[in-house]
Amino acid sequence: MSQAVAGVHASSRSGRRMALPRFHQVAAVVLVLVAVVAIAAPWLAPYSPSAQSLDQIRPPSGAHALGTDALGRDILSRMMYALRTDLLLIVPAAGLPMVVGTVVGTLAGYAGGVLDAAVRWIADVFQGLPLYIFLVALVAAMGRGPASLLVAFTALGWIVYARLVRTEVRRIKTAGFVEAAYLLGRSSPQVLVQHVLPHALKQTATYFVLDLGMALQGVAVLSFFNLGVKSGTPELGAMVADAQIFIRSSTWMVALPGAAIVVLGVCIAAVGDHLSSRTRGESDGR
Amino acid sequence: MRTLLEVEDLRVDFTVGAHGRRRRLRAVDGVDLVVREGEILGLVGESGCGKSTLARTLVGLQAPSGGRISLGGDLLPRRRPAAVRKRIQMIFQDPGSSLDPRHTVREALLAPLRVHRLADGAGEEARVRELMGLVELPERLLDAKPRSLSGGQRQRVAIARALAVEPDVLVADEAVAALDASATGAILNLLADLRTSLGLTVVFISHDLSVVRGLCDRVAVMYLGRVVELGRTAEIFARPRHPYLQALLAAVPRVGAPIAAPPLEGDEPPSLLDPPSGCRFRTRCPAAFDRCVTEEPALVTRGGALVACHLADRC
Repeated sequence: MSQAVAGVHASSRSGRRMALPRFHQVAAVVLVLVAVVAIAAPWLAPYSPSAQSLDQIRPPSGAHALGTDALGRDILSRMMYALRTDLLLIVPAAGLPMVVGTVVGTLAGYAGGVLDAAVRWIADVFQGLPLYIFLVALVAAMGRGPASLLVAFTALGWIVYARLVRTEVRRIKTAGFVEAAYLLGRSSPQVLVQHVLPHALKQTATYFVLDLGMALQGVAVLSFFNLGVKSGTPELGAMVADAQIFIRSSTWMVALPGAAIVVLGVCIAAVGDHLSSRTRGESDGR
Repeated sequence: MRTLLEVEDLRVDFTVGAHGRRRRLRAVDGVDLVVREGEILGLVGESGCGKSTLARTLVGLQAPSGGRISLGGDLLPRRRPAAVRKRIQMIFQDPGSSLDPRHTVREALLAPLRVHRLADGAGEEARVRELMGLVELPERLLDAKPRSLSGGQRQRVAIARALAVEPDVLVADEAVAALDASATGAILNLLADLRTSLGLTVVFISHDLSVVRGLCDRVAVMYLGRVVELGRTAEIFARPRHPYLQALLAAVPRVGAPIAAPPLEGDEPPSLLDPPSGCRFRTRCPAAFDRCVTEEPALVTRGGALVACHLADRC
C-alpha cells in the first residue's frame, strides 16, 4: 500500500519536472521580480526618476535603455519608481478592505442578531454606489491623492469580504468541531480564532489577490484622468497620460508603461485565479 | 448503582417563524431522567422527537428553558464554565464535521489536554498515545488529517478526544448513524469495552432500535418531546407496554420476515408547534379512546418499567 502511494508520488513529481512551468507559476515569478524591482528601485535605477536633461524624447539607446520622456527623464528609472508608487498604493487599497471586511464579517457572523442585520443594511447601501463615480466625488471632496483612493476602495471593497467571512463563520460556527472545541473547554473567542477564522481567511486571501488587480486598474485610471497622484510623481498611469500626445511619433513612451500595467494586471489575475480554483477545490474535497 | 446525572422537568423552547408570526416550539417538554453511574442509557425515538435537543441540552450546547440538570449532586448552571462543560462530553453524528479538517489527529487530541493543563510536555505525548490505545487506533495515524481517515476511524478520534478530559458522562448523539455496518459494530463494541474498562457512563441516542437493544442497559423512549416509556432494555423490548414502542418494535425489519409498516395512523408525528391535547400519541395510536383526548397520561411504574399510557394497566 505505502509502496504504491510512493510510486504515485514519484511519477507525478517526475511528470512535473518534464512539463513546462504553468502560466500561474510564471506569473508568480514575474510578480516577485516586480516586487524586488519596486523595493530596490533606489539602487537599481540608473538615474534619478526626476532628473531632467536636454536629451528629450529619445528612443531606447545605450545611455537610456528605455529612452527618455518629454522632460528628458530616464523612462527605465521612472518605471522602476512607478512600480514602487503603484505597489505602495494598491497593496493598502486592496488590503484595507480585506481587514475591515474580515473584522466586520466575523463579528456579524458570530454575533448574529441586530449587529448582523445592521451590517447587512449598511452593505446594501454601499453596494449601490458605483466605484468610479464615488471615487471622483471623493477626489472632489478630499482632494486628489492616495487618501481618496484608499477611502473609496475600502468603502466599497469591504462588502465582499464581510459577506464571504460572515457566511463562512456562520457555516463553521455550527460545525461539530467548533461545538466540540467549546465543550472541551475553549472559550468562544478562542474557538473563533483557532477553528473558525483560519477557514474563512483562506478564501479572503484569494479575493485580496484579485482585488490587487482591481486596485491597479483604479490607480492607473485615476492617474490617467489626472485625479490620482501628484503630478510629477512617477506612476504608470500618469506616465501613459503624460506621453499620450507623442503616441504617433514616439510610441515607446506610451507603450512601455502601458505594457507594464497590462503585464502586472495579467499576472495578478493569473495568480488570483489559480488561488481561487484551488480553494474551491479544497472546500469541495472536505 | 449511584445516580450520576439527574434531569428534572427539563423543558427546551425554540422560537420559530419571522417577526410578527413568532411561535414557540417546545422541543423537550418536561423530561425527567436519571442516569446511573457506569450504565449505558439509550434514548430512542423518531426524528424530531427531541432526543437530539435533549442531548445538546445535557452537554450544555443548548440552554434549557426550564427544569434542572444536576451532575453528581451539583446543580449545573444555565451557562456552564469550561470546568463544568468538560464533565459531560459529546460524540456527534457526523465524524466528518466533528474534526477540524486542518488539524492532525495529534493536534485534535492535544488541544483538550492543553486547555485544561492535564499533562505537561513529556506527559502530553504519552497521554495522546494512551488515548489512541483506548480507542484502538494505531499510533501511526497521529499525524494524519481527518480527510485521510475512514468514518469509523474519525469517530474513534472523536471518542478519544472526548475521553482526553476524563468526562463523567459521554453523550453519543446518533454516533453510528453515519457509519457503515461494520464500523457501527466496531464503535458499539468500543463503547461497551470503554464502559467496562473505564467505568464510563454513556447516554446513547439513536433512532435505531436494534443498535440500542444490543448496547444499552436501560432505554428511554421519547415521543414529541416527552418520555413515554423507560426501563431495562431486556424488559421493555420483551414486553413493550406503550403502544408507540409496540408499533416501533413491530416495524423492526427481521431477516426472513416480510417488512411491515408500523401499525400507526399516519407516517409523520404531529407538529410540535401544535401538539395534540391529552396524550400526544393519541392521533397515531391504534388503541386511543375518549380519555386520551382530555387527559395526559403520567409516567407511572408498571412491572419493571415506567410507562405513560392510560392503557398501561391492561398490558
